[in-house]
Amino acid sequence: MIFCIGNNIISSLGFSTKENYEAVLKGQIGLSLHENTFGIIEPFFASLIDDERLDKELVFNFKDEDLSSFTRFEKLLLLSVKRANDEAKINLHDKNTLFILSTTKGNVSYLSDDMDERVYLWHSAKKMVSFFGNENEPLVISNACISGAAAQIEALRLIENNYYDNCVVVGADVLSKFVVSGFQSFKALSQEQCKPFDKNRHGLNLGEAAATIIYSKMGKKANNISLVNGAIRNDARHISAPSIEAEGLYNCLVAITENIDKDDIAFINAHGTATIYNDEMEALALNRIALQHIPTNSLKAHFGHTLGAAALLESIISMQALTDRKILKSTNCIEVGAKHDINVSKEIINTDKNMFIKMVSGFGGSNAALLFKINDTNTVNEEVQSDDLKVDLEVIVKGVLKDNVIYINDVKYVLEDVPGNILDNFYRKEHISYPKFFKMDNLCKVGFIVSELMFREVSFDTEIPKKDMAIILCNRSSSSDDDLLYLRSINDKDNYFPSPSVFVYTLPNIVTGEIAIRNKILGESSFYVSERHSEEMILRQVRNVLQPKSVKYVLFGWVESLKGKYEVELTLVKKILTKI
Amino acid sequence: MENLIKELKEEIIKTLNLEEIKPEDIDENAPLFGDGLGLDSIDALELIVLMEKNYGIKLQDPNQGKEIFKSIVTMADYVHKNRTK
Repeated sequence: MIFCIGNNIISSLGFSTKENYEAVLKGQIGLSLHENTFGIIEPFFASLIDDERLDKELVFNFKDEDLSSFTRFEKLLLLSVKRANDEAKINLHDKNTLFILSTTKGNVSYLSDDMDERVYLWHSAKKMVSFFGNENEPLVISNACISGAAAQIEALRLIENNYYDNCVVVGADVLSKFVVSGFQSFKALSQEQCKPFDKNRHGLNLGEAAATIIYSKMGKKANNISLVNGAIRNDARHISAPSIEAEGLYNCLVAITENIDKDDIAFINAHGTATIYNDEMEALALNRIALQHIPTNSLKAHFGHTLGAAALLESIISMQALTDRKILKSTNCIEVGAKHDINVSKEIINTDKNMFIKMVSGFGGSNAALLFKINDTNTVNEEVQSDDLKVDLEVIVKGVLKDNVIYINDVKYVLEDVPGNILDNFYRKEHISYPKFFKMDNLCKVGFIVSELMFREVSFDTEIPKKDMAIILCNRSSSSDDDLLYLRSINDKDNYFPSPSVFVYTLPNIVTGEIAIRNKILGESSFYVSERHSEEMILRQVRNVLQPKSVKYVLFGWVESLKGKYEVELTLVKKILTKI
Repeated sequence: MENLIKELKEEIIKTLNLEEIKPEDIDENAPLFGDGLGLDSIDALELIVLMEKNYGIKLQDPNQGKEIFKSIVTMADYVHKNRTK
């Protein structure tokens, strides 16, 4: 359990948690219609942060600081962290404090063939920690729409396992032509205010936000909220469509509720994007675990879908509600429309229960759920139970690709330099049979090929569902390779045809999804972005992921693809428990 | 119409990266979705883009695609009747 000791939300509804929470209580909607915005002709509903107010807040909060080198996205990070720490009052440059950034597209609006350094997600994170004087390597999580939940789970593990005393978890995304056109190409955007869980829902609205939670080993006051548990699971079904069996989300809910009294759950804050299939999938997951009677709400009608900030923002508003002993209503849901029962909260009601669940799902087949609890005692932190067992890693197989040569353990394969795509050529030469391969971007193709050869080497059965296996991948350039490809489909005004099949790959964690689908890997899947390949960082994550008894295998490592250059280093390990 | 059917088969293979399929492998009367070509929801969205890019046909509601993209023949028929370029 870790304690929230400070938080902040910046959105179209305000620049503090209080302002945002009160706006929600009053039923205020941050969404409005935008025409000819970001150079997009097709109108769209979205919630955008007011720049005039942002400038004033920056001047007020950073009087003597020169912020001219920071982008709008980065200024939002700085402001949100600063405001959260006005409450938490921790020493941000302490070596026991780690910054964790959650974002999907960061500074993608600066993307060009020149690869401006600002587009790298790790670059924004490093600028942020440098500004606050923190010397620890920040952790950057880009796990599509579950990023904000994954970042909180990261904080939980790192603090509980005594790596750090405090984690500053900050999530943000800003809207741009890149992001909005992509969702438009997916026909995912509603032409009106979104209506989560309503029978007449027609899709989502996008939103901008930055949100920060500062978590600590110790609480600061009575009645504060702690993050008790969290889980990430992959559906292993499809890279963009929600699972028709809600497998991943159901597995998350099972994991976080196994040791609790479910009668003490006050409410569930759903992802509730207002797409037909997401909301249906969430209702199914709740039915499968018999939580369909618990009041459930979505905050998307107030803020829109704020991407990398969403799970943080919505956790914070939900924390405020529980502290206030309230269950918020699910705005814009007039008549519930789902095949499966769901108790959508229609009014603000009082509660005396002590817990809530946050659910979220995203592209790449990713799902996450978090369990929060209000604490009636002051600064009581439960020590992590040690069962006197040490986790060791047994390497099953390694796969390395460098300079167009692949080594699977000691077996050598060469990617021949032929005209066309060398990965496609290698796939054909090796007689791999997976027709969807040709639909993948190069990051997925290269990750797929190396993992395929690894699994083949150890005769892993791709058909058996693997709930006990996790995938943790990392790289430097995120999905920049595919981002550049997508950019070409929207840059020419006279040839403006945003491609959905390219856009879907503009998230780095899709490679984890493709490998999970191919091999039916139903465990955790996560993607990190880092300036360099740090064995130490990734092994730390692997050990944390392997802690639960249910996890036995992890496929982890580095997968990089940029402008025809590939670099992969993957390892499949098995957990060995030995007595200390 | 025959030319349009041939053109659509070639365009679909190219746009949807169906590398291992040749135009003659596609039965123009067989369902495009389901078992046949193994197309999925992203392919359906990409076909909507193809309709606009190649033939100037704008489909706002993806549900319209269900009828239009039943087979190459239904697609060709719709293109024939509604194309603006």
